[in-house]
Amino acid sequence: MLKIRAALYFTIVIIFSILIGCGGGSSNAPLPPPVTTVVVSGVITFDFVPTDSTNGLLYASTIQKPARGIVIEAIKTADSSVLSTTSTDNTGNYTVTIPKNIDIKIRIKAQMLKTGTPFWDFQVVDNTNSQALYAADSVAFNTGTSNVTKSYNLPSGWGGSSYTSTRVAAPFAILDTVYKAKSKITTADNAVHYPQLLINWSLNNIGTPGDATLGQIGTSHYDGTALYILGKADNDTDEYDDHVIAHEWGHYFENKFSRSDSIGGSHSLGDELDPRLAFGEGFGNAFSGMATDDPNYIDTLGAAQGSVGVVMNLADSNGDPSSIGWYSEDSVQYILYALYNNLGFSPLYTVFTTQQKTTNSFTTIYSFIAYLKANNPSAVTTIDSLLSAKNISTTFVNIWDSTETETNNGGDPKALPVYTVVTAGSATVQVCGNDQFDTNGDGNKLMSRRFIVIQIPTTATYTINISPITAGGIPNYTINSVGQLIGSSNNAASVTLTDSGSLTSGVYYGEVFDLRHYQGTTYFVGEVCFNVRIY
Amino acid sequence: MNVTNIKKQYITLVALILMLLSWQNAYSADVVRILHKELSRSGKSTAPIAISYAVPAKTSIGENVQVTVTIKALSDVNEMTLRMTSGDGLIMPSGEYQKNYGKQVRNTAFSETVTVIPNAEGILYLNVFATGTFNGKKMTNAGAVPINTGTVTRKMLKKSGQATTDSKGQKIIIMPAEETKTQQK
Repeated sequence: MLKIRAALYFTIVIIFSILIGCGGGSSNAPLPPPVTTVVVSGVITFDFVPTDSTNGLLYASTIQKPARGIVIEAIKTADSSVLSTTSTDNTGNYTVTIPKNIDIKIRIKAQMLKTGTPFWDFQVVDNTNSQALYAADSVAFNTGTSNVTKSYNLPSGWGGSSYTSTRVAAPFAILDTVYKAKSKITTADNAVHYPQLLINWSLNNIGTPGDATLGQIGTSHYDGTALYILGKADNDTDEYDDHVIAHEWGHYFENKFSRSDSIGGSHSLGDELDPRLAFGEGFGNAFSGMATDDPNYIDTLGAAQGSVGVVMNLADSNGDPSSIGWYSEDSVQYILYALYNNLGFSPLYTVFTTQQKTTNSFTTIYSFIAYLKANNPSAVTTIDSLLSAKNISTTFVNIWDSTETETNNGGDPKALPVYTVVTAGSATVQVCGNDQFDTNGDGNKLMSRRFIVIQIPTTATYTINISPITAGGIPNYTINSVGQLIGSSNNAASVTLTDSGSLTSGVYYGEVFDLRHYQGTTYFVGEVCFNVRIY
Repeated sequence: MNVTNIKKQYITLVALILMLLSWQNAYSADVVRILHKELSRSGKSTAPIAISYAVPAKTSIGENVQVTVTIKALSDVNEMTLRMTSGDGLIMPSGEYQKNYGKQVRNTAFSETVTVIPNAEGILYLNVFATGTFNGKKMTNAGAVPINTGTVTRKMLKKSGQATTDSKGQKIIIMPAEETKTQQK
């Protein structure tokens, strides 16, 4: 009995001890681990120089804007190892946790990086220095024993009348526009995987064609892979010209997420352009207004960046009156920007990333509008009013306007139809090119190349026959299907071109042109017509 | 064929080669290759004025270099002007060049020749600005004519900061960040 009492007493003592222990009131609880880290935080800003439609860059009005989404590294000065990596938030703030009592510096990289979904990796690099990534380092400091605030600004380098110190802000000003452009896409799709994009900027980048590693980039442009941005002071700099940056980023978007059949080359607002080029450049300008939510496009240049090259109001319905229609980048940019204002970005994004990407025609205003109307029947009245304002047909029924509703011929009746229908086994059709709109021999203007839409009734081997009607005409052609070139021939002589190949039944599209119109140069041969037959 | 004849033929051959070499050197010294190029308008929107130029392919420091710049109106234009200024290392003895051509019709071209003197080795630039008013809107097309001076092409390139490789092997250009008292938001 005594043993039973002793066992019971022992059990009660043990349970009581456990209960007290669980209550946390024991004086024997383990001590918290010693603090070994501190938090370093701050805000990153850069000098932003605003633009003016008359006086170019207004250095006296420079403001400090937050550097958003920028990669930040805490670098251990002893061995240059990276202790922590983060990105600034949408107000430029960053936070890193670092061991205490250690010498570090904060490295601010000209890179926007996001892994996972969505993904992006935008970097500003120096094309004249092995495409090295721009970065800005703080002065080294000791992290000490308590949390510390370390904020940094990236200066423009402007000394009052010229640049007198390092232009640190420039790469970050470019990324700020990229941030806006990317954010605009996010409003329509938050799960985008952006292919890596290198943005080549250098203070040596100047407006002469040649070797890009020497800074000779021609002008600010997208080459199908990367962006090249001008930076030569007193000639033309574009790092603060946010519409120029957004325009070129728009070409990247169109290339990677949609499709552009633009043939590129020289262009101006008042030109009568190849409609593919007109659509691509018109979209670039319109997108610059969408990304910045500012219709005032300003491109600065000149001595002390105190002049302007091009100023335009994307919302101005008058635009450039010297070129109005389906072949005008000015007309396209007005229509697209107005559609953005009326419908929002998502409907445009949907067309760009789906139907326009796989259209079985060249990418022109016709293909884009046909899909936009199909997707948004309630907006047809609005869309048609914008088309009418720019003298573009409102009654076309498909992506080729194959029923020939377009009446705006740019001044030459032979500029129409936009696409000439060629039906295999049917009668010969006539198409005429001309270099009258191509006074500089660029080979990319209205009528430089003529479009055809080809109807193949049954799968078989077909022959295309293109014979010059105009003496000396040098016939050439391409046949395409859904953005893919499936046939072409480039004659070098003024003889009838005959080519054969197997085609499955369906609809194809292509172009017929005179080699001299295509090459541009200085031939200036005027109108050249061909008979075209497929059998 | 005796030894004397072989010697004579050898001497003749050497003399011929020397003559050819000297003639080639003289030819190289006398003939200046001229580069003709058009400045690109393929990229951002620009004024409808084409700019092209002709310049010697190679120049040397102190040499008087003739540069011919041609501008061509691609649309009807008012107040078409051409302005040229010198970039780093280049001297324009007559100072900055500017000419106003007034109102012009589409496809009209003008050529102007200016003298510049390279004062440094590398690629120097003559800045060219072609301005016009098109349908009431003033627009300018900017470009630059490269003057290749000497043999070291990269000598005039400017650096933005110190190039290095970080601990991850990435090439970077380090520039200075300025600490501020800006508070976190």
